[in-house]
Amino acid sequence: MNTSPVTERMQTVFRNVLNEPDLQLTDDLTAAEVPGWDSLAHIGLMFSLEAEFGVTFTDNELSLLENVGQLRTVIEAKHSS
Amino acid sequence: MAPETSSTSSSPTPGSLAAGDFLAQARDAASIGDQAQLARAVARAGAASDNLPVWLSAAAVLADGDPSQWARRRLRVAVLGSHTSAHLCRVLPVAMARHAIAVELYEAPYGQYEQEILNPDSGLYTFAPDLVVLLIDERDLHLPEISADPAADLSAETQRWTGLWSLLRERTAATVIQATFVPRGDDSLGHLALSTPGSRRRMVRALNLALGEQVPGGVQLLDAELLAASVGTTRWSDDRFWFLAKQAIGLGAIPALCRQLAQITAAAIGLTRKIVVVDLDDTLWGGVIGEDGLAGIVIGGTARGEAHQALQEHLLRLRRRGVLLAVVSKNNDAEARRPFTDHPDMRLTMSDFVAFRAGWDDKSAVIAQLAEDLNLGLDAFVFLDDNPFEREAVRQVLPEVEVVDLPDEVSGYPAALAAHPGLEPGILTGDDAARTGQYQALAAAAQARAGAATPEEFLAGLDMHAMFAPVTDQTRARVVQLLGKTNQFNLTGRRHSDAAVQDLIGRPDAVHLTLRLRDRFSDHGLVGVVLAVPDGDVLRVDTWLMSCRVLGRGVEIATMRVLTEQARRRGFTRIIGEHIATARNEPARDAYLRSGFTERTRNHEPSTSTWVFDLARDVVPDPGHINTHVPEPATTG
Repeated sequence: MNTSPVTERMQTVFRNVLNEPDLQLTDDLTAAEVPGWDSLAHIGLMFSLEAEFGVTFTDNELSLLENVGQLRTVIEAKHSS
Repeated sequence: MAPETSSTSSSPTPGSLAAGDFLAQARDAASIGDQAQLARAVARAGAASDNLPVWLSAAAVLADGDPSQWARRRLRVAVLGSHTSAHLCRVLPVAMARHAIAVELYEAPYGQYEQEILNPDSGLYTFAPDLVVLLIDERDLHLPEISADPAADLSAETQRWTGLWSLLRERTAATVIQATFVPRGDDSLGHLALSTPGSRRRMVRALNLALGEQVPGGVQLLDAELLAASVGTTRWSDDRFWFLAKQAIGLGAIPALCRQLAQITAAAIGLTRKIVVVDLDDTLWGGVIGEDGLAGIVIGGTARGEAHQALQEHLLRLRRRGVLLAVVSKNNDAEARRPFTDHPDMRLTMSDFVAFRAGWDDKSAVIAQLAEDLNLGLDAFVFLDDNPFEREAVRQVLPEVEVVDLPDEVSGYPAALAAHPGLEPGILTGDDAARTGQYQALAAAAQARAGAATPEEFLAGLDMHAMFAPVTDQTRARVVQLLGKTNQFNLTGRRHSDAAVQDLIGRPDAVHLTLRLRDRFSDHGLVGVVLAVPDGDVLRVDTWLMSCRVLGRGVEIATMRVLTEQARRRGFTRIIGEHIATARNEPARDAYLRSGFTERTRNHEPSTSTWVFDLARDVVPDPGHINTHVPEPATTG
């Protein structure tokens, strides 16, 4: 797993929003596998990730990205552009 | 929605950094079981940031603490939202902790606030709340896009809410806080909504006003329209999260909304602070009285001085509302008092303070002593001081005292004080008899304004007083400043230095005037200057200027009346004035003409004109509606 700074920062956001201080993010992690990552938490997560990285997700990205690896890829792409 | 941080680098904004420090402090405090410090650090994290993620972290740390060790009050709070309220419920405790209030929360099931209120056996009533918060989105109002019968629709909708309040008050002992409704900007009527009778936008605003008129004791309104305006539309609502999860209130606005809720709650349960302790130097005025002296401190005049004045004015409004004021300053007592007695631009006077402690003792000790002397708890105090070290010292030594977080820039001081939690008024008391008097005066003024049918009536209604006086050591600095910055009504545009002004006014038989203008609505301060020097039996006007904020009132003519009277008294035969054209002073070109002077010469390259007034023969018109005050002559004859 690529422990880039992006991943570390994502992990901090996930831990804070989901209130799971020991959560470990892996690329294949999905919402179904994480306690508390329901649709309500999801908007908090997406909002917080936008704020943390200074990016804006598209409608599709907001609805469909529920896999940490996909999220990371999208964020890295936006972050560097 | 535009995210708050625009930078693509990884360094956080300064505000978040400070919040991060407080979060770290909170976690450290949690690990060693220091509950009081935990709550304080959480509160400071919330105060330092509007960022939802920060608040979520702070809420998590707070939830691990033990409120019995830090809370002044514990409240059972029921949140009844028309739509998704989960995030708000998670972070509301952070805002409440700011006021040392611990909350136990009940969240009504989604979309069932009406059922919960109407059903006497609902979870809401079983919960037995102390506080009920109604957060209803505009979408839930039963109002058409254009009403065919606005009065009836408004009445029905008003009764819908007042009826729900009645039920809550009958069935619980809870205070109710209802957020007002925020009109949407995307209705199809666009700008016509305001002028279309029965439009939804007008109806929503009318509803808010109607609720304000009918709000009974025990119900408080939160002005959500004002809050939405202050956070901005893009933060207040984000359609993306509405469509995704029925999040009606923007996630970026939730911290600010929670702050307001907590502020109103604190006021409603009697936690409003009673006394503001203020510093003097660089707080009530710019500069240090002990070093800069009376003439050197800055009040009014410049942007910096106006900001200090505005801060004083806000403190004055607080005092009129019944908040006590006290001075705690590191200064010699006599020097510290001088601006209050001798500086004309101060807004606060000695009589506004219940205590005046100027000395060299440590401020925390002085405040603690003051609390004893006034028989007030330290939790009644707010501390206002520009010096971050003094602020931090008081925070450490007297943690119960509220300390106003002043920004670095003086221009931000008035707003910071106005927004400070803990000064939200609770109940308006009998002390507001003074306020009643003010309201009456304002109502009379409004009536006078409404009644003015002509410009003359309007000007007469202003009740203007123009105070003329020679330039003094104290006013000279302001005079030089006006010379430097006045452009429009400036006849000659000469930018004299302080030394040059001193020289001019020092000449024997020089005639020099400053003008202070006051009207019914405000004291404009020093707004006009005339400097005239003798040339045999002729008086030459070297400088004549006036601040543009008092143009169009005939004040310039009153000025010339005073000048001509003074010149006559001193035995001059004529006054000669010039207009030297600059890029900006075209508005002043006809000032001498309107004052009864006669044009004598006119050049084109450079563009100048000279004007003459024969003191034996010519007459300055009487502006009539200005009360002129001149000092008594120093010598007779």
